[in-house]
Amino acid sequence: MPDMRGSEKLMLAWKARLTEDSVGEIARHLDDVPATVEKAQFHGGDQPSGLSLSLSYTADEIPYCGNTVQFYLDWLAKHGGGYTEPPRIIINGIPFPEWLRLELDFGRVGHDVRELGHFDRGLGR
Amino acid sequence: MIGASGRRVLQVHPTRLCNLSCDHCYTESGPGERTMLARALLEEVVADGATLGYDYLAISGGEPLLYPDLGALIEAGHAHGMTVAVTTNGTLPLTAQRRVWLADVDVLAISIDGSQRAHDRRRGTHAYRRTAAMLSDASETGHSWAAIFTLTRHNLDDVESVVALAADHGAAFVQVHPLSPLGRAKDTLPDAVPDEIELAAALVAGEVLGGEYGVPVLVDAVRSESFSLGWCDGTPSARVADDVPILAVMPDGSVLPLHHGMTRELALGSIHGAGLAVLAAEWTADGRRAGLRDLQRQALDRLVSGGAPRVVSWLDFVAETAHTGMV
Repeated sequence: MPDMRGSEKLMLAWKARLTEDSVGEIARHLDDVPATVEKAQFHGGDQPSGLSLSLSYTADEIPYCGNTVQFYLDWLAKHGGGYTEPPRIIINGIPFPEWLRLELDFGRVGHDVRELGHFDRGLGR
Repeated sequence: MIGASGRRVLQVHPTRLCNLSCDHCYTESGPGERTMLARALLEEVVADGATLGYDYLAISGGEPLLYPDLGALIEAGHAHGMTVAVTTNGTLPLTAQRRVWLADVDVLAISIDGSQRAHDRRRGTHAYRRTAAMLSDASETGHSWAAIFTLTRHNLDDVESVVALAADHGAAFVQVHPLSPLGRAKDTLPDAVPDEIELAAALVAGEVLGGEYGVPVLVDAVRSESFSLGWCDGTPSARVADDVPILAVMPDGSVLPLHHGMTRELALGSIHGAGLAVLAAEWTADGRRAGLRDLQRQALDRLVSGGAPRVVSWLDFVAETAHTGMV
């Protein structure tokens, strides 16, 4: 969005900021799918504005990644505030990968990163 | 660099030599600009500046770390009781010589243009990594440093990256400086000068982010309702520095009051022709100093009378008022 006003981008980011409800939705979805959370990073200081997740699926878990992609798109439509970051999907082979990695950015991601030393599956619940 | 807390700033540009050629550079500095102001000349400028009432020496450029007599200039500032600040792009290696120089600086101001992506886009690949190395060094040595962010019409959303970085590395403050339509920016970024909407948003964002991250965010903008120039109504001060809180010595030796884009009709002259104290005395005697006071009064009247933007970068607005022929 190179020509958009900085204040407009800031407003979109504000609308896309993480809330307790929006983070709770992510946590509840992760409870419903067999994904393994490889990495979770909050962005944006003491009041996080974004969350990067790296999820892995192996073998029979892989079809569930579709559920997560759908959830991700629904979440962006509800909370995204205009941003639409495509999910990054990494597989180790075709046509039937043995593992799959899904990288998702919720909210506003891109500036200073706070890496979680220990992932709490409840995401702060 | 506008002095904080009422400082009277003597801003010196010893050279336009720089390892970068940024598209927003108001002095049009770059690797091919090799002219430098002589050390003796600048030492005299600093001495005269002190007698005129300036207590803050801001050394910029070009890239001041490429000026071979930077150490002497810093020393001259201290010898005359000035606080000395150096503004750098932070991308040059920290050689032993540069470490010695920087150790003697009171405030190290490092230009940071936002996130890594935004910064590298403006200053070149790996620029952010090199800049981060310098500010990490400043943080580890406990050196006082500040981040300078150039605000355009399109990048307010990048300021949080800078504030977060500043907070993480113990910066004294973040200065948000609006892009001026001067130098290279006039041709390369004609539509990027922030207007009152972006300035107003920057003021708000500065307050919010400063509170969230615990580092002061100083935005070089004022709201018309909150501005006053009480000193303009009184008797001119005996000290030049009280009427002219910023005096800029440009790389070509010309001396401009308040702003790099000030009309040349109000310039003090060139230090190649006479010493700064002599220039200031002549400037006062022939009425140009009074003309500058009148200009600021006109700019203020224009600001508060309606029809002008509600939020402005004050010094840009004064310079613009001069160029609209209202003097």
